[in-house]
Amino acid sequence: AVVSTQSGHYGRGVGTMVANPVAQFEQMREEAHYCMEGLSRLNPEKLEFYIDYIKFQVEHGFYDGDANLNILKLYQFSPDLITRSSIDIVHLILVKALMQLPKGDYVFCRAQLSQEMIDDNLTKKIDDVATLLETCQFPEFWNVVTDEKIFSEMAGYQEAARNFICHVVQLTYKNVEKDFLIQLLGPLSGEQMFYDILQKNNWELNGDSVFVGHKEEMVESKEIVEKMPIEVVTPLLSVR
Amino acid sequence: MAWTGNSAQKMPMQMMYYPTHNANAPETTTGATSDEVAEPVVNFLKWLYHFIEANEIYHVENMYEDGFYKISEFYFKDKPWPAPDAVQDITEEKDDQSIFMILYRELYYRHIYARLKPTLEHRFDSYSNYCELFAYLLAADEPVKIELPNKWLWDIIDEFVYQFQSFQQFKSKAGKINDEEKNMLRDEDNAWKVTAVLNILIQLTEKCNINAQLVAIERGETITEDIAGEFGVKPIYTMTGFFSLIGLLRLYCLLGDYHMALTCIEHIQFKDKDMMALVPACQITANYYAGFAYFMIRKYANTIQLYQHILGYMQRTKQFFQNRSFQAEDINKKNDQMLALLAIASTFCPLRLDESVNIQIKEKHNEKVTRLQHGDMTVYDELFFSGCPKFLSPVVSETSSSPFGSSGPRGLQLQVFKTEVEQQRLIPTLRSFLKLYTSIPISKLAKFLDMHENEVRCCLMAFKHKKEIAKGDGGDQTTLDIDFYVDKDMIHISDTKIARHYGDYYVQQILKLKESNKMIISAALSNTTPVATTPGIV
Repeated sequence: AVVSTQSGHYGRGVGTMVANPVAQFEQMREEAHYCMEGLSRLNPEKLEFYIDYIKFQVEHGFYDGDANLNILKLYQFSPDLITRSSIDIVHLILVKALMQLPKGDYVFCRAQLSQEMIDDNLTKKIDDVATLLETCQFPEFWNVVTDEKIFSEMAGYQEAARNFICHVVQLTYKNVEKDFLIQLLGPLSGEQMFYDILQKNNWELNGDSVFVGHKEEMVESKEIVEKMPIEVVTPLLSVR
Repeated sequence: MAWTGNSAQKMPMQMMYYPTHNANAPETTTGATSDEVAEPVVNFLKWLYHFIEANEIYHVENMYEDGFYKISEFYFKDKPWPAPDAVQDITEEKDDQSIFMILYRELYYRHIYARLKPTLEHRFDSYSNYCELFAYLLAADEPVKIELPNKWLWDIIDEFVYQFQSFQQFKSKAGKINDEEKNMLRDEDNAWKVTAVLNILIQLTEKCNINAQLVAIERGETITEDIAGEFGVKPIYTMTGFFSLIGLLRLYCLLGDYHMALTCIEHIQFKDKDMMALVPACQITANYYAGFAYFMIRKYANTIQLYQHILGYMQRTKQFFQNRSFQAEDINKKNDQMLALLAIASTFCPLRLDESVNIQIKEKHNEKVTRLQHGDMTVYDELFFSGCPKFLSPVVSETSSSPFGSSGPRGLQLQVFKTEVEQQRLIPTLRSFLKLYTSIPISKLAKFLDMHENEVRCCLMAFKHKKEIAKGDGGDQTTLDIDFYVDKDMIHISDTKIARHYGDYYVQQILKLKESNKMIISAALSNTTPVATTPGIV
């Protein structure tokens, strides 16, 4: 059954009611990867399918980086496929890729954009958000993102961002101040959400600080001893 | 020993086609040639034809590696080899689409591209010739009987990608194309299309199931016909397939598609003993582009590992390239490019570099490295430009407005790189402060850096995040970088000591001494024997 609800600009609320999203995603994924074998990935006739595929991903919270990158590739190879709405698809691809941090999908996508796509205002904003994330300026990140529709309307965005933030906190801290951590995690719907996050990451709350993990072995003093691989020494050992 | 047409005649040990010391004689010959072609050249062509037809790969290899280059140097320094028609007459080859003629034309055009300027017609004709050559391999129902030396196969693929690159660059200089050429371009619209080039390379890889073969090699299995297929068991197909993978790696990097580039080399291990090592030029190209792809996706440890390894290899085998100057030039250029990229990569990801590599970087880019360490931002541009390959865009229109803006594909990639530079901006300063302490409270560090405490906290996390990415898949590397963790408002920093590396230094000095000895001995010898040294005979 096709249910058209109020149109959301970025795919939210538009589309069919899907009985089993997971199964459908699997089906689309198989089809996409079949189409991308060898040179047939550049077949421009499949562009519509790939576009539907990413809209599906956005709406239901799935991700297929390969297929999304392929859309950018098609735009690069056949610029005549680019229409006025293509830039919207590009933005969706970029934001979806950004949600994969710490994986580097965003850079792959970024390297395939044309100058026009880069100069677009929203692309620039997405770029800024990417930089905020990569330089770990999380409080500022949350400020910027709540104002931008494309992020606030993207399913699963907050969760993805928090996953990344927790990953970085895990790398850096042994004990982190509770207030600072709350600041990093952005708008939480309540105390319970905070405790859920702590539990998910196996962190312990101790008064006003959170214990993240033991890190002492990281800073043990090391001495680096020289190793000489055999192929460096062999030329010297030859006679004459 | 002149050619008598008797195929049972053995090739003399000292190849007769080497220019002798009266090679300055005029180029007229008494042979039945339709052009004024010098006799050694005629001999060369006839013998080459014979060996290719008789499938004597060892001799073909010799002639290709030595003879072709030397004759080009001597007779065709600034003009093309004899036209294919003339060669057909000389060798009495009836079929102008025979494999020998296709191969000869490949050499003929390659020489034009290397020493002269190809015209638009040359470009189109060369492209048709490549199509013939690849159709010969791909369209065959059964594997072809001919065998070719690996070096030649690599050079074919390498040149193919290079000529495509050259064509795209030619088209993008819209201002320099005259009207006649514009018309030709419009009419001949099929030549050198990017999809066709990709298609050919992909088909070559698929014909011999090269990916399946590489997976099997990874697992340590032997290659059977089940895995490689009917075509893959013949070396000519497997090697062409493998070289096409490297060709694809290069092409994808030039188009900015690092994802596909890295997929190509997914199953290739960059160790000394694999298929790549059969042709040094291939190894160097593969390492350069793979390292560059990792560089652009910020996995600097991988880049550093690859480049160190290959630079060391290039230093050790330098003498083998000296006598072929057109290759030596290319190799030197790659050497310099890698040094430039290494200089940047080791600023972002300090890893222990071999002494020899360090010395090379100092020699080439000393001034730039100092500027890097002082946080000078403009030097990143310079180093990037000297290190990066000549990017392409897949579509270049003949009109002067290209969809990729005036900055061109190189500008686009520079912008991607600059975002990384911007994101790394505060990290070197942070690193230099942290190096001085084993523990320091955040408030104190904030005062030094003149930043708010929260800014410092974010910076520390960024440091960790970038470091994690840069590590890539390079497991066991000696890092020069500091490591730390944060305990509430206190930073605890690691204390890494590096033992003095004497071994490296000794190796360098021993190699230098050996070289000096060699030079002295050869100088002494040449003083006592006044022979007119024939070029090429060592």
